[in-house]
Amino acid sequence: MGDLHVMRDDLRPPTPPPKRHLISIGDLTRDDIERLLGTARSFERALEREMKKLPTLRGRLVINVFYESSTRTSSSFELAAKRLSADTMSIKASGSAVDKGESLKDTAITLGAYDPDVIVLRHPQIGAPQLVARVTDARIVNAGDGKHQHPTQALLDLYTIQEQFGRIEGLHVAIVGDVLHSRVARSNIQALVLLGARVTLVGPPPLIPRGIEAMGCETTTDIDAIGAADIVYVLRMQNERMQEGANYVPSLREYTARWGVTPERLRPGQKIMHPGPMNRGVEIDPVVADAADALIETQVRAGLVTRMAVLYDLLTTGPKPVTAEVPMEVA
Amino acid sequence: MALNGIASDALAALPDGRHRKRRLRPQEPLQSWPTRTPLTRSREAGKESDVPACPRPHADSAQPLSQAGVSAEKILLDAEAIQRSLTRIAHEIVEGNPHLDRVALVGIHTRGVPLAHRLRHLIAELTGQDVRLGSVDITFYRDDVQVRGGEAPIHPQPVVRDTKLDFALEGMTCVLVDDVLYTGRTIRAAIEALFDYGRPERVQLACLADRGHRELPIRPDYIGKNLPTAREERVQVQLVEIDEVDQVLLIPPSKESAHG
Repeated sequence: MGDLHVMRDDLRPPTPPPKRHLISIGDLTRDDIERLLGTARSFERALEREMKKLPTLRGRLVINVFYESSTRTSSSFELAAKRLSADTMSIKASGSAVDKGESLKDTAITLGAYDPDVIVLRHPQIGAPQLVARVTDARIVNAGDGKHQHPTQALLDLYTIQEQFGRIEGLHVAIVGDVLHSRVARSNIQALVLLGARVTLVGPPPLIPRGIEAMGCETTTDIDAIGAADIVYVLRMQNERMQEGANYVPSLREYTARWGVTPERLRPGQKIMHPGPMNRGVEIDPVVADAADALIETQVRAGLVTRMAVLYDLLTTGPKPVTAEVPMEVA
Repeated sequence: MALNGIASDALAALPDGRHRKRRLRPQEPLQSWPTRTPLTRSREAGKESDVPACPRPHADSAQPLSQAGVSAEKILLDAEAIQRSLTRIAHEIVEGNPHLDRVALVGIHTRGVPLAHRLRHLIAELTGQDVRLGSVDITFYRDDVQVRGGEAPIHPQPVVRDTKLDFALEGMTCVLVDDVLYTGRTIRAAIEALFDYGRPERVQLACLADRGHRELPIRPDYIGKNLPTAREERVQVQLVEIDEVDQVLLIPPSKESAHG
Protein backbone atom coordinates (compact mmCIF):
# COMPACT_ATOMS: atom_id res chain seq x y z
CA MET A 1 0.00 0.00 0.00
CA GLY A 2 1.04 3.60 0.00
CA ASP A 3 2.53 3.65 -3.46
CA LEU A 4 0.06 4.43 -6.14
CA HIS A 5 0.85 2.51 -9.32
CA VAL A 6 -0.53 3.98 -12.45
CA MET A 7 -0.50 1.52 -15.28
CA ARG A 8 -1.07 2.35 -18.89
CA ASP A 9 -3.89 0.34 -20.35
CA ASP A 10 -1.75 -1.01 -23.16
CA LEU A 11 0.79 -2.39 -20.66
CA ARG A 12 -1.81 -4.21 -18.62
CA PRO A 13 -1.84 -7.97 -19.18
CA PRO A 14 -4.79 -8.68 -21.41
CA THR A 15 -7.78 -10.22 -19.75
CA PRO A 16 -9.85 -12.50 -21.91
CA PRO A 17 -13.09 -10.92 -23.05
CA PRO A 18 -16.20 -12.61 -21.69
CA LYS A 19 -17.05 -15.93 -23.25
CA ARG A 20 -19.87 -15.83 -25.70
CA HIS A 21 -22.86 -18.13 -25.51
CA LEU A 22 -26.14 -18.35 -27.35
CA ILE A 23 -28.69 -19.04 -24.67
CA SER A 24 -31.56 -16.76 -25.57
CA ILE A 25 -32.57 -14.53 -28.45
CA GLY A 26 -32.32 -11.82 -25.79
CA ASP A 27 -28.52 -12.25 -26.01
CA LEU A 28 -28.59 -10.91 -29.55
CA THR A 29 -28.99 -7.48 -31.03
CA ARG A 30 -30.61 -6.83 -34.36
CA ASP A 31 -27.13 -6.39 -35.83
CA ASP A 32 -26.06 -9.75 -34.46
CA ILE A 33 -29.06 -11.45 -36.05
CA GLU A 34 -28.49 -9.77 -39.40
CA ARG A 35 -24.84 -10.78 -39.32
CA LEU A 36 -25.77 -14.38 -38.51
CA LEU A 37 -28.30 -14.51 -41.35
CA GLY A 38 -25.69 -13.10 -43.73
CA THR A 39 -23.14 -15.69 -42.66
CA ALA A 40 -25.75 -18.43 -43.07
CA ARG A 41 -26.34 -17.26 -46.63
CA SER A 42 -22.63 -17.56 -47.42
CA PHE A 43 -22.66 -21.10 -46.06
CA GLU A 44 -25.66 -21.88 -48.25
CA ARG A 45 -23.55 -20.89 -51.27
CA ALA A 46 -20.66 -23.01 -50.04
CA LEU A 47 -22.96 -26.03 -49.74
CA GLU A 48 -24.02 -25.74 -53.36
CA ARG A 49 -20.63 -26.88 -54.56
CA GLU A 50 -19.43 -30.44 -54.84
CA MET A 51 -16.89 -30.16 -52.04
CA LYS A 52 -19.17 -29.36 -49.14
CA LYS A 53 -16.67 -29.18 -46.32
CA LEU A 54 -15.09 -25.94 -45.17
CA PRO A 55 -11.86 -25.99 -43.15
CA THR A 56 -12.94 -23.13 -40.89
CA LEU A 57 -13.32 -24.91 -37.54
CA ARG A 58 -10.73 -27.60 -38.08
CA GLY A 59 -9.56 -29.10 -34.81
CA ARG A 60 -12.47 -27.74 -32.78
CA LEU A 61 -14.68 -29.98 -30.67
CA VAL A 62 -18.45 -29.59 -30.57
CA ILE A 63 -20.34 -31.79 -28.11
CA ASN A 64 -24.09 -32.25 -28.49
CA VAL A 65 -25.78 -33.09 -25.21
CA PHE A 66 -29.45 -33.96 -25.64
CA TYR A 67 -31.56 -34.71 -22.58
CA GLU A 68 -34.69 -34.65 -24.73
CA SER A 69 -35.45 -36.43 -27.95
CA SER A 70 -34.66 -34.59 -31.14
CA THR A 71 -34.25 -35.39 -34.82
CA ARG A 72 -33.81 -32.08 -36.57
CA THR A 73 -31.87 -30.09 -34.04
CA SER A 74 -29.34 -32.74 -33.06
CA SER A 75 -28.76 -33.96 -36.61
CA SER A 76 -28.36 -30.47 -38.01
CA PHE A 77 -25.96 -29.38 -35.28
CA GLU A 78 -23.89 -32.48 -35.85
CA LEU A 79 -23.82 -32.01 -39.62
CA ALA A 80 -23.15 -28.27 -39.24
CA ALA A 81 -20.10 -28.95 -37.10
CA LYS A 82 -18.88 -31.60 -39.53
CA ARG A 83 -19.34 -29.36 -42.56
CA LEU A 84 -17.07 -26.86 -40.81
CA SER A 85 -14.48 -29.58 -40.14
CA ALA A 86 -15.00 -29.61 -36.38
CA ASP A 87 -15.04 -32.87 -34.43
CA THR A 88 -18.38 -33.81 -32.94
CA MET A 89 -19.68 -36.07 -30.20
CA SER A 90 -23.29 -36.71 -29.34
CA ILE A 91 -24.42 -37.61 -25.85
CA LYS A 92 -28.01 -38.70 -25.38
CA ALA A 93 -29.61 -38.94 -21.96
CA SER A 94 -30.70 -42.50 -22.54
CA GLY A 95 -27.75 -44.83 -22.91
CA SER A 96 -25.38 -42.51 -21.04
CA ALA A 97 -24.48 -42.19 -17.37
CA VAL A 98 -27.55 -39.97 -17.03
CA ASP A 99 -29.47 -43.26 -16.86
CA LYS A 100 -27.38 -44.16 -13.82
CA GLY A 101 -28.40 -40.99 -12.03
CA GLU A 102 -25.56 -38.65 -12.91
CA SER A 103 -26.53 -35.00 -12.47
CA LEU A 104 -26.30 -32.44 -15.26
CA LYS A 105 -23.50 -30.70 -13.39
CA ASP A 106 -21.36 -33.82 -13.16
CA THR A 107 -22.02 -34.73 -16.77
CA ALA A 108 -21.00 -31.21 -17.77
CA ILE A 109 -17.79 -31.36 -15.74
CA THR A 110 -16.98 -34.75 -17.24
CA LEU A 111 -17.48 -33.52 -20.79
CA GLY A 112 -15.65 -30.31 -19.94
CA ALA A 113 -12.56 -32.41 -19.25
CA TYR A 114 -12.32 -33.07 -23.01
CA ASP A 115 -11.87 -29.33 -23.49
CA PRO A 116 -14.77 -28.82 -25.90
CA ASP A 117 -15.10 -25.51 -27.71
CA VAL A 118 -18.88 -25.63 -27.90
CA ILE A 119 -21.47 -27.59 -25.97
CA VAL A 120 -24.89 -27.75 -27.59
CA LEU A 121 -27.39 -28.51 -24.86
CA ARG A 122 -31.03 -29.51 -24.86
CA HIS A 123 -32.52 -30.01 -21.44
CA PRO A 124 -36.07 -30.10 -20.05
CA GLN A 125 -35.29 -27.51 -17.39
CA ILE A 126 -34.98 -23.77 -17.78
CA GLY A 127 -31.57 -22.48 -16.79
CA ALA A 128 -29.68 -25.69 -17.59
CA PRO A 129 -27.47 -23.91 -20.18
CA GLN A 130 -26.39 -21.32 -17.61
CA LEU A 131 -25.39 -24.09 -15.21
CA VAL A 132 -23.26 -25.79 -17.85
CA ALA A 133 -21.77 -22.42 -18.82
CA ARG A 134 -20.63 -21.95 -15.24
CA VAL A 135 -18.95 -25.32 -14.76
CA THR A 136 -17.20 -25.66 -18.15
CA ASP A 137 -15.00 -23.44 -20.30
CA ALA A 138 -17.01 -24.20 -23.42
CA ARG A 139 -19.32 -21.83 -25.19
CA ILE A 140 -22.89 -22.96 -24.76
CA VAL A 141 -25.54 -23.09 -27.45
CA ASN A 142 -29.02 -23.59 -26.08
CA ALA A 143 -30.84 -26.12 -28.24
CA GLY A 144 -33.98 -25.84 -26.12
CA ASP A 145 -34.36 -25.49 -22.36
CA GLY A 146 -37.79 -26.46 -21.11
CA LYS A 147 -40.41 -24.04 -22.37
CA HIS A 148 -38.01 -21.13 -22.18
CA GLN A 149 -35.96 -20.62 -25.36
CA HIS A 150 -34.84 -22.32 -28.56
CA PRO A 151 -32.81 -19.55 -30.20
CA THR A 152 -31.39 -21.45 -33.17
CA GLN A 153 -34.93 -22.47 -34.19
CA ALA A 154 -35.93 -18.81 -34.25
CA LEU A 155 -32.83 -17.92 -36.26
CA LEU A 156 -33.51 -20.59 -38.86
CA ASP A 157 -37.13 -19.45 -39.09
CA LEU A 158 -35.94 -15.88 -39.65
CA TYR A 159 -33.55 -17.15 -42.30
CA THR A 160 -36.36 -19.07 -44.02
CA ILE A 161 -38.61 -16.00 -44.00
CA GLN A 162 -35.84 -13.71 -45.17
CA GLU A 163 -34.98 -15.99 -48.08
CA GLN A 164 -38.66 -16.41 -49.02
CA PHE A 165 -39.82 -12.81 -48.75
CA GLY A 166 -36.54 -10.92 -49.02
CA ARG A 167 -37.37 -9.09 -45.81
CA ILE A 168 -38.73 -9.61 -42.32
CA GLU A 169 -39.70 -6.09 -41.33
CA GLY A 170 -43.38 -5.36 -41.84
CA LEU A 171 -44.45 -8.98 -42.35
CA HIS A 172 -47.36 -10.35 -40.37
CA VAL A 173 -46.83 -13.72 -38.70
CA ALA A 174 -49.62 -15.65 -37.01
CA ILE A 175 -48.40 -18.24 -34.51
CA VAL A 176 -51.13 -20.84 -33.98
CA GLY A 177 -51.44 -23.43 -31.25
CA ASP A 178 -49.86 -24.33 -27.93
CA VAL A 179 -47.91 -21.16 -27.18
CA LEU A 180 -47.92 -21.83 -23.43
CA HIS A 181 -45.56 -24.80 -23.61
CA SER A 182 -43.58 -23.67 -26.63
CA ARG A 183 -40.00 -22.44 -26.35
CA VAL A 184 -40.07 -22.07 -30.13
CA ALA A 185 -42.88 -19.53 -29.80
CA ARG A 186 -41.01 -17.51 -27.16
CA SER A 187 -37.81 -17.31 -29.18
CA ASN A 188 -39.71 -16.57 -32.36
CA ILE A 189 -41.86 -13.81 -30.87
CA GLN A 190 -38.76 -12.14 -29.46
CA ALA A 191 -36.79 -12.43 -32.71
CA LEU A 192 -39.64 -11.42 -35.03
CA VAL A 193 -40.56 -8.41 -32.92
CA LEU A 194 -36.88 -7.40 -32.75
CA LEU A 195 -36.71 -7.43 -36.54
CA GLY A 196 -39.91 -5.44 -36.95
CA ALA A 197 -42.45 -8.10 -37.86
CA ARG A 198 -46.01 -8.09 -36.55
CA VAL A 199 -46.86 -11.18 -34.51
CA THR A 200 -50.34 -12.45 -33.66
CA LEU A 201 -50.80 -15.44 -31.37
CA VAL A 202 -53.83 -17.60 -32.05
CA GLY A 203 -55.04 -20.48 -29.88
CA PRO A 204 -57.32 -21.70 -27.13
CA PRO A 205 -57.34 -19.31 -24.16
CA PRO A 206 -55.62 -21.71 -21.72
CA LEU A 207 -52.71 -22.15 -24.12
CA ILE A 208 -52.06 -18.44 -24.65
CA PRO A 209 -50.10 -17.27 -21.59
CA ARG A 210 -51.58 -14.27 -19.85
CA GLY A 211 -49.48 -11.13 -20.21
CA ILE A 212 -47.53 -12.40 -23.21
CA GLU A 213 -48.59 -9.24 -25.05
CA ALA A 214 -45.74 -7.58 -23.13
CA MET A 215 -43.37 -9.24 -25.62
CA GLY A 216 -44.82 -6.99 -28.30
CA CYS A 217 -47.35 -9.30 -29.93
CA GLU A 218 -51.14 -9.45 -30.22
CA THR A 219 -53.32 -12.33 -29.09
CA THR A 220 -56.65 -13.69 -30.21
CA THR A 221 -58.66 -16.87 -29.84
CA ASP A 222 -60.28 -16.48 -33.25
CA ILE A 223 -58.75 -18.86 -35.81
CA ASP A 224 -60.04 -16.69 -38.68
CA ALA A 225 -57.37 -14.17 -37.69
CA ILE A 226 -54.78 -16.29 -39.53
CA GLY A 227 -56.32 -15.21 -42.83
CA ALA A 228 -54.71 -11.78 -42.46
CA ALA A 229 -51.19 -13.07 -41.97
CA ASP A 230 -48.38 -13.45 -44.50
CA ILE A 231 -47.06 -16.48 -42.64
CA VAL A 232 -48.96 -19.01 -40.54
CA TYR A 233 -46.62 -20.63 -38.04
CA VAL A 234 -48.18 -23.80 -36.65
CA LEU A 235 -47.20 -25.25 -33.27
CA ARG A 236 -47.61 -28.79 -32.03
CA MET A 237 -49.63 -29.65 -28.91
CA GLN A 238 -46.76 -30.34 -26.54
CA ASN A 239 -48.35 -33.07 -24.48
CA GLU A 240 -45.05 -34.02 -22.83
CA ARG A 241 -44.85 -30.63 -21.15
CA MET A 242 -48.49 -30.40 -20.11
CA GLN A 243 -49.36 -30.82 -16.47
CA GLU A 244 -50.87 -34.17 -15.53
CA GLY A 245 -54.63 -34.02 -15.50
CA ALA A 246 -54.86 -30.44 -16.70
CA ASN A 247 -57.52 -29.94 -19.35
CA TYR A 248 -56.16 -27.27 -21.64
CA VAL A 249 -58.52 -28.34 -24.41
CA PRO A 250 -61.53 -30.61 -24.10
CA SER A 251 -60.07 -33.08 -26.62
CA LEU A 252 -57.66 -33.16 -29.55
CA ARG A 253 -60.63 -33.55 -31.92
CA GLU A 254 -62.18 -30.43 -30.49
CA TYR A 255 -58.84 -28.64 -30.86
CA THR A 256 -58.55 -29.72 -34.49
CA ALA A 257 -62.08 -28.60 -35.22
CA ARG A 258 -61.59 -25.16 -33.73
CA TRP A 259 -57.90 -24.33 -34.22
CA GLY A 260 -56.54 -26.82 -36.75
CA VAL A 261 -54.92 -25.19 -39.78
CA THR A 262 -56.96 -26.44 -42.72
CA PRO A 263 -57.00 -25.39 -46.39
CA GLU A 264 -60.38 -23.66 -45.88
CA ARG A 265 -58.94 -21.35 -43.25
CA LEU A 266 -56.08 -20.20 -45.46
CA ARG A 267 -56.03 -17.90 -48.43
CA PRO A 268 -53.84 -18.65 -51.44
CA GLY A 269 -50.24 -17.46 -51.19
CA GLN A 270 -49.96 -17.68 -47.43
CA LYS A 271 -46.79 -19.46 -46.36
CA ILE A 272 -46.97 -22.22 -43.77
CA MET A 273 -44.22 -22.95 -41.29
CA HIS A 274 -43.91 -25.60 -38.59
CA PRO A 275 -40.92 -26.28 -36.34
CA GLY A 276 -41.59 -30.03 -36.40
CA PRO A 277 -42.33 -32.68 -35.45
CA MET A 278 -45.79 -32.40 -37.01
CA ASN A 279 -48.89 -34.23 -35.87
CA ARG A 280 -50.71 -34.39 -39.16
CA GLY A 281 -54.42 -34.19 -38.78
CA VAL A 282 -54.19 -32.51 -35.37
CA GLU A 283 -52.72 -29.02 -35.52
CA ILE A 284 -52.11 -29.11 -39.27
CA ASP A 285 -54.12 -30.68 -42.07
CA PRO A 286 -52.02 -33.08 -44.22
CA VAL A 287 -53.07 -31.17 -47.34
CA VAL A 288 -51.65 -27.96 -45.87
CA ALA A 289 -48.45 -29.67 -44.75
CA ASP A 290 -47.77 -30.99 -48.26
CA ALA A 291 -48.86 -27.89 -50.16
CA ALA A 292 -46.41 -25.89 -52.24
CA ASP A 293 -46.79 -22.98 -49.85
CA ALA A 294 -45.46 -25.01 -46.92
CA LEU A 295 -41.89 -24.04 -46.05
CA ILE A 296 -41.44 -26.88 -43.61
CA GLU A 297 -38.72 -28.67 -45.54
CA THR A 298 -37.03 -25.37 -46.34
CA GLN A 299 -36.87 -24.76 -42.60
CA VAL A 300 -34.94 -27.98 -42.08
CA ARG A 301 -32.45 -26.99 -44.78
CA ALA A 302 -32.16 -23.55 -43.24
CA GLY A 303 -31.40 -25.21 -39.90
CA LEU A 304 -28.14 -26.58 -41.21
CA VAL A 305 -26.72 -23.32 -42.54
CA THR A 306 -28.04 -21.27 -39.62
CA ARG A 307 -26.39 -23.60 -37.13
CA MET A 308 -23.17 -23.46 -39.12
CA ALA A 309 -23.39 -19.68 -38.83
CA VAL A 310 -23.98 -19.87 -35.07
CA LEU A 311 -21.00 -22.17 -34.49
CA TYR A 312 -18.81 -20.05 -36.74
CA ASP A 313 -19.92 -16.85 -35.08
CA LEU A 314 -19.42 -18.08 -31.52
CA LEU A 315 -15.94 -19.40 -32.25
CA THR A 316 -14.68 -16.50 -34.29
CA THR A 317 -16.18 -13.10 -34.47
CA GLY A 318 -18.58 -10.84 -32.70
CA PRO A 319 -18.26 -7.18 -31.88
CA LYS A 320 -19.94 -7.51 -28.54
CA PRO A 321 -19.99 -10.28 -25.98
CA VAL A 322 -23.42 -11.57 -25.16
CA THR A 323 -24.68 -11.42 -21.63
CA ALA A 324 -26.04 -14.64 -20.28
CA GLU A 325 -29.06 -14.33 -18.08
CA VAL A 326 -28.87 -14.69 -14.32
CA PRO A 327 -27.79 -18.27 -13.67
CA MET A 328 -30.25 -20.53 -11.95
CA GLU A 329 -29.55 -23.70 -10.06
CA VAL A 330 -30.93 -26.80 -11.71
CA ALA A 331 -30.41 -30.53 -11.53
CA MET B 1 -0.36 -15.54 -18.15
CA ALA B 2 -2.20 -17.19 -20.93
CA LEU B 3 -1.42 -16.52 -24.52
CA ASN B 4 -4.40 -14.63 -25.73
CA GLY B 5 -3.77 -14.53 -29.40
CA ILE B 6 -3.55 -10.80 -29.36
CA ALA B 7 -1.31 -9.27 -31.97
CA SER B 8 -1.04 -5.75 -30.64
CA ASP B 9 2.30 -3.99 -30.69
CA ALA B 10 2.35 -3.71 -26.93
CA LEU B 11 2.44 -7.47 -26.63
CA ALA B 12 5.50 -8.08 -28.74
CA ALA B 13 7.05 -10.14 -25.96
CA LEU B 14 4.49 -12.94 -26.22
CA PRO B 15 6.13 -16.33 -26.78
CA ASP B 16 5.18 -16.51 -30.39
CA GLY B 17 7.52 -16.70 -33.33
CA ARG B 18 6.07 -13.82 -35.22
CA HIS B 19 6.30 -11.41 -32.39
CA ARG B 20 9.80 -12.36 -31.41
CA LYS B 21 10.83 -11.63 -34.93
CA ARG B 22 9.30 -8.21 -34.68
CA ARG B 23 11.25 -7.34 -31.58
CA LEU B 24 14.46 -7.85 -33.50
CA ARG B 25 13.47 -5.63 -36.33
CA PRO B 26 14.56 -2.23 -35.01
CA GLN B 27 18.17 -3.39 -35.10
CA GLU B 28 17.96 -4.04 -38.83
CA PRO B 29 17.56 -1.40 -41.47
CA LEU B 30 13.89 -1.00 -42.20
CA GLN B 31 14.37 -1.36 -45.93
CA SER B 32 16.19 -4.57 -46.60
CA TRP B 33 15.90 -5.00 -50.33
CA PRO B 34 18.62 -7.56 -51.00
CA THR B 35 17.04 -10.20 -48.81
CA ARG B 36 13.75 -9.87 -50.67
CA THR B 37 15.01 -9.98 -54.20
CA PRO B 38 15.10 -13.74 -54.78
CA LEU B 39 11.58 -14.19 -53.48
CA THR B 40 9.84 -11.41 -55.28
CA ARG B 41 11.58 -11.29 -58.62
CA SER B 42 8.82 -10.58 -61.06
CA ARG B 43 8.31 -10.43 -64.74
CA GLU B 44 8.61 -6.74 -64.38
CA ALA B 45 12.09 -7.14 -62.97
CA GLY B 46 13.44 -8.93 -66.02
CA LYS B 47 12.59 -12.32 -67.40
CA GLU B 48 15.86 -13.71 -68.61
CA SER B 49 18.25 -12.80 -65.88
CA ASP B 50 18.40 -12.79 -62.14
CA VAL B 51 19.63 -9.24 -62.34
CA PRO B 52 16.87 -6.68 -62.67
CA ALA B 53 16.76 -5.46 -66.26
CA CYS B 54 16.16 -1.94 -65.14
CA PRO B 55 16.72 -0.30 -61.79
CA ARG B 56 13.92 -1.16 -59.42
CA PRO B 57 11.48 1.69 -59.50
CA HIS B 58 11.85 2.56 -55.86
CA ALA B 59 15.30 1.25 -55.12
CA ASP B 60 16.79 4.65 -54.48
CA SER B 61 13.71 6.39 -53.24
CA ALA B 62 12.83 3.69 -50.74
CA GLN B 63 14.16 5.50 -47.73
CA PRO B 64 12.52 8.85 -48.47
CA LEU B 65 9.30 7.03 -49.18
CA SER B 66 8.81 5.66 -45.72
CA GLN B 67 10.21 8.73 -44.02
CA ALA B 68 8.01 11.09 -45.91
CA GLY B 69 5.11 8.93 -44.79
CA VAL B 70 5.72 9.60 -41.11
CA SER B 71 3.63 12.70 -41.06
CA ALA B 72 0.93 11.99 -43.62
CA GLU B 73 -0.45 9.57 -46.14
CA LYS B 74 1.47 9.54 -49.37
CA ILE B 75 0.18 8.66 -52.79
CA LEU B 76 2.38 5.92 -54.26
CA LEU B 77 0.40 5.34 -57.43
CA ASP B 78 -2.16 7.59 -59.03
CA ALA B 79 -4.96 6.61 -61.36
CA GLU B 80 -2.75 6.77 -64.42
CA ALA B 81 -0.03 4.62 -62.86
CA ILE B 82 -2.61 2.02 -61.80
CA GLN B 83 -4.00 1.96 -65.32
CA ARG B 84 -0.49 1.54 -66.77
CA SER B 85 0.32 -1.27 -64.36
CA LEU B 86 -2.88 -3.12 -65.16
CA THR B 87 -2.33 -2.73 -68.90
CA ARG B 88 1.11 -4.23 -68.56
CA ILE B 89 -0.23 -7.12 -66.45
CA ALA B 90 -2.88 -7.73 -69.10
CA HIS B 91 -0.17 -7.88 -71.76
CA GLU B 92 1.85 -10.28 -69.67
CA ILE B 93 -1.11 -12.56 -69.08
CA VAL B 94 -1.83 -12.67 -72.80
CA GLU B 95 1.84 -13.28 -73.55
CA GLY B 96 2.17 -16.09 -71.03
CA ASN B 97 -1.04 -17.89 -71.94
CA PRO B 98 -1.47 -18.82 -75.59
CA HIS B 99 -4.81 -20.49 -74.85
CA LEU B 100 -6.88 -17.66 -73.44
CA ASP B 101 -10.00 -19.82 -73.55
CA ARG B 102 -8.47 -21.78 -70.71
CA VAL B 103 -7.65 -18.74 -68.58
CA ALA B 104 -9.85 -17.55 -65.74
CA LEU B 105 -9.32 -14.41 -63.70
CA VAL B 106 -10.34 -14.96 -60.10
CA GLY B 107 -10.55 -11.82 -57.98
CA ILE B 108 -10.04 -12.07 -54.24
CA HIS B 109 -12.57 -10.05 -52.28
CA THR B 110 -12.71 -7.14 -51.79
CA ARG B 111 -10.47 -5.15 -54.12
CA GLY B 112 -9.22 -8.03 -56.20
CA VAL B 113 -12.69 -8.35 -57.72
CA PRO B 114 -12.83 -4.97 -59.52
CA LEU B 115 -9.20 -5.43 -60.52
CA ALA B 116 -10.06 -8.76 -62.14
CA HIS B 117 -12.94 -7.05 -63.97
CA ARG B 118 -10.59 -4.38 -65.29
CA LEU B 119 -7.99 -6.93 -66.38
CA ARG B 120 -10.64 -8.88 -68.23
CA HIS B 121 -11.71 -5.71 -70.00
CA LEU B 122 -8.10 -4.88 -70.92
CA ILE B 123 -7.49 -8.40 -72.21
CA ALA B 124 -10.64 -8.15 -74.31
CA GLU B 125 -9.40 -4.85 -75.78
CA LEU B 126 -6.10 -6.48 -76.60
CA THR B 127 -7.25 -9.74 -78.08
CA GLY B 128 -10.99 -9.45 -78.58
CA GLN B 129 -11.39 -12.47 -76.36
CA ASP B 130 -13.34 -12.56 -73.10
CA VAL B 131 -11.64 -14.65 -70.49
CA ARG B 132 -13.66 -16.23 -67.71
CA LEU B 133 -14.17 -14.32 -64.52
CA GLY B 134 -14.70 -15.50 -60.97
CA SER B 135 -14.38 -14.26 -57.45
CA VAL B 136 -13.37 -15.93 -54.24
CA ASP B 137 -13.95 -15.00 -50.62
CA ILE B 138 -11.39 -16.39 -48.25
CA THR B 139 -13.06 -15.64 -44.92
CA PHE B 140 -13.78 -19.29 -44.14
CA TYR B 141 -10.25 -20.26 -45.12
CA ARG B 142 -8.31 -17.76 -43.04
CA ASP B 143 -5.69 -19.07 -40.64
CA ASP B 144 -6.42 -16.42 -38.03
CA VAL B 145 -10.15 -16.81 -37.44
CA GLN B 146 -9.67 -19.23 -34.60
CA VAL B 147 -8.56 -18.34 -31.15
CA ARG B 148 -8.21 -21.00 -28.52
CA GLY B 149 -9.78 -20.67 -25.10
CA GLY B 150 -12.31 -18.08 -24.05
CA GLU B 151 -11.17 -15.21 -26.20
CA ALA B 152 -12.37 -13.69 -29.42
CA PRO B 153 -10.14 -11.99 -31.98
CA ILE B 154 -9.67 -8.30 -31.46
CA HIS B 155 -10.93 -7.35 -34.87
CA PRO B 156 -14.37 -8.48 -35.89
CA GLN B 157 -14.18 -10.66 -38.94
CA PRO B 158 -14.92 -8.93 -42.20
CA VAL B 159 -18.20 -9.35 -43.97
CA VAL B 160 -18.38 -12.60 -45.88
CA ARG B 161 -18.92 -12.21 -49.59
CA ASP B 162 -19.88 -14.57 -52.34
CA THR B 163 -17.51 -16.93 -54.00
CA LYS B 164 -18.53 -17.13 -57.66
CA LEU B 165 -16.82 -19.75 -59.76
CA ASP B 166 -19.46 -20.84 -62.24
CA PHE B 167 -17.18 -22.79 -64.54
CA ALA B 168 -15.28 -26.03 -64.16
CA LEU B 169 -11.75 -25.39 -62.95
CA GLU B 170 -10.38 -28.57 -64.49
CA GLY B 171 -7.83 -27.76 -67.18
CA MET B 172 -7.96 -24.04 -66.47
CA THR B 173 -5.22 -21.60 -65.63
CA CYS B 174 -6.62 -19.60 -62.74
CA VAL B 175 -5.05 -16.21 -62.26
CA LEU B 176 -5.75 -15.05 -58.73
CA VAL B 177 -6.03 -11.26 -58.62
CA ASP B 178 -5.46 -9.26 -55.45
CA ASP B 179 -4.64 -5.65 -54.68
CA VAL B 180 -1.73 -5.83 -52.23
CA LEU B 181 0.55 -8.80 -51.75
CA TYR B 182 1.97 -8.80 -48.23
CA THR B 183 2.44 -11.87 -46.01
CA GLY B 184 1.05 -14.30 -48.59
CA ARG B 185 -1.48 -15.72 -46.14
CA THR B 186 -4.45 -14.44 -48.11
CA ILE B 187 -3.10 -16.14 -51.20
CA ARG B 188 -2.59 -19.42 -49.36
CA ALA B 189 -6.22 -19.25 -48.23
CA ALA B 190 -7.40 -18.37 -51.74
CA ILE B 191 -5.53 -21.32 -53.24
CA GLU B 192 -7.11 -23.63 -50.68
CA ALA B 193 -10.56 -22.22 -51.44
CA LEU B 194 -9.96 -22.65 -55.16
CA PHE B 195 -9.03 -26.30 -54.73
CA ASP B 196 -12.28 -26.98 -52.91
CA TYR B 197 -14.05 -26.04 -56.14
CA GLY B 198 -11.99 -28.18 -58.46
CA ARG B 199 -8.54 -28.96 -59.73
CA PRO B 200 -7.21 -26.16 -61.90
CA GLU B 201 -4.32 -27.01 -64.16
CA ARG B 202 -2.30 -24.01 -63.00
CA VAL B 203 -2.75 -21.23 -60.49
CA GLN B 204 -1.04 -17.93 -61.10
CA LEU B 205 -1.02 -14.76 -59.07
CA ALA B 206 -1.40 -11.18 -60.20
CA CYS B 207 -1.31 -8.27 -57.78
CA LEU B 208 -1.28 -4.53 -58.18
CA ALA B 209 1.26 -3.89 -55.45
CA ASP B 210 3.84 -6.11 -53.80
CA ARG B 211 4.96 -4.68 -50.49
CA GLY B 212 7.21 -7.55 -49.44
CA HIS B 213 7.43 -9.12 -45.97
CA ARG B 214 6.30 -12.54 -47.14
CA GLU B 215 5.66 -15.13 -44.45
CA LEU B 216 4.99 -17.97 -46.86
CA PRO B 217 6.81 -19.23 -49.95
CA ILE B 218 4.52 -17.45 -52.39
CA ARG B 219 5.72 -15.57 -55.45
CA PRO B 220 3.52 -13.52 -57.74
CA ASP B 221 3.55 -14.12 -61.48
CA TYR B 222 2.39 -10.64 -62.41
CA ILE B 223 3.16 -7.55 -60.33
CA GLY B 224 1.95 -4.02 -60.91
CA LYS B 225 4.49 -2.29 -58.71
CA ASN B 226 7.04 -3.33 -56.13
CA LEU B 227 6.52 -1.08 -53.14
CA PRO B 228 9.22 -1.31 -50.51
CA THR B 229 7.65 -0.65 -47.15
CA ALA B 230 8.30 -1.13 -43.49
CA ARG B 231 6.12 -3.62 -41.67
CA GLU B 232 4.68 -0.85 -39.56
CA GLU B 233 3.43 1.02 -42.59
CA ARG B 234 0.28 0.18 -44.44
CA VAL B 235 -0.35 0.16 -48.13
CA GLN B 236 -3.90 0.90 -49.10
CA VAL B 237 -5.31 0.47 -52.56
CA GLN B 238 -8.35 2.56 -53.37
CA LEU B 239 -10.39 1.85 -56.47
CA VAL B 240 -13.13 3.85 -58.14
CA GLU B 241 -15.56 0.93 -57.90
CA ILE B 242 -15.33 0.86 -54.11
CA ASP B 243 -13.59 4.00 -52.85
CA GLU B 244 -14.56 6.51 -55.56
CA VAL B 245 -10.93 7.20 -56.38
CA ASP B 246 -8.07 5.31 -58.02
CA GLN B 247 -4.90 5.53 -55.96
CA VAL B 248 -2.45 3.55 -53.87
CA LEU B 249 -1.61 5.13 -50.53
CA LEU B 250 1.21 4.61 -48.08
CA ILE B 251 -0.15 5.07 -44.58
CA PRO B 252 2.51 5.82 -41.99
CA PRO B 253 2.83 3.84 -38.75
CA SER B 254 1.58 4.76 -35.30
CA LYS B 255 -1.58 6.29 -36.61
CA GLU B 256 -4.77 4.58 -35.64
CA SER B 257 -6.42 4.00 -38.95
CA ALA B 258 -10.12 3.59 -39.35
CA HIS B 259 -9.76 1.85 -42.69
CA GLY B 260 -10.36 -1.85 -42.79
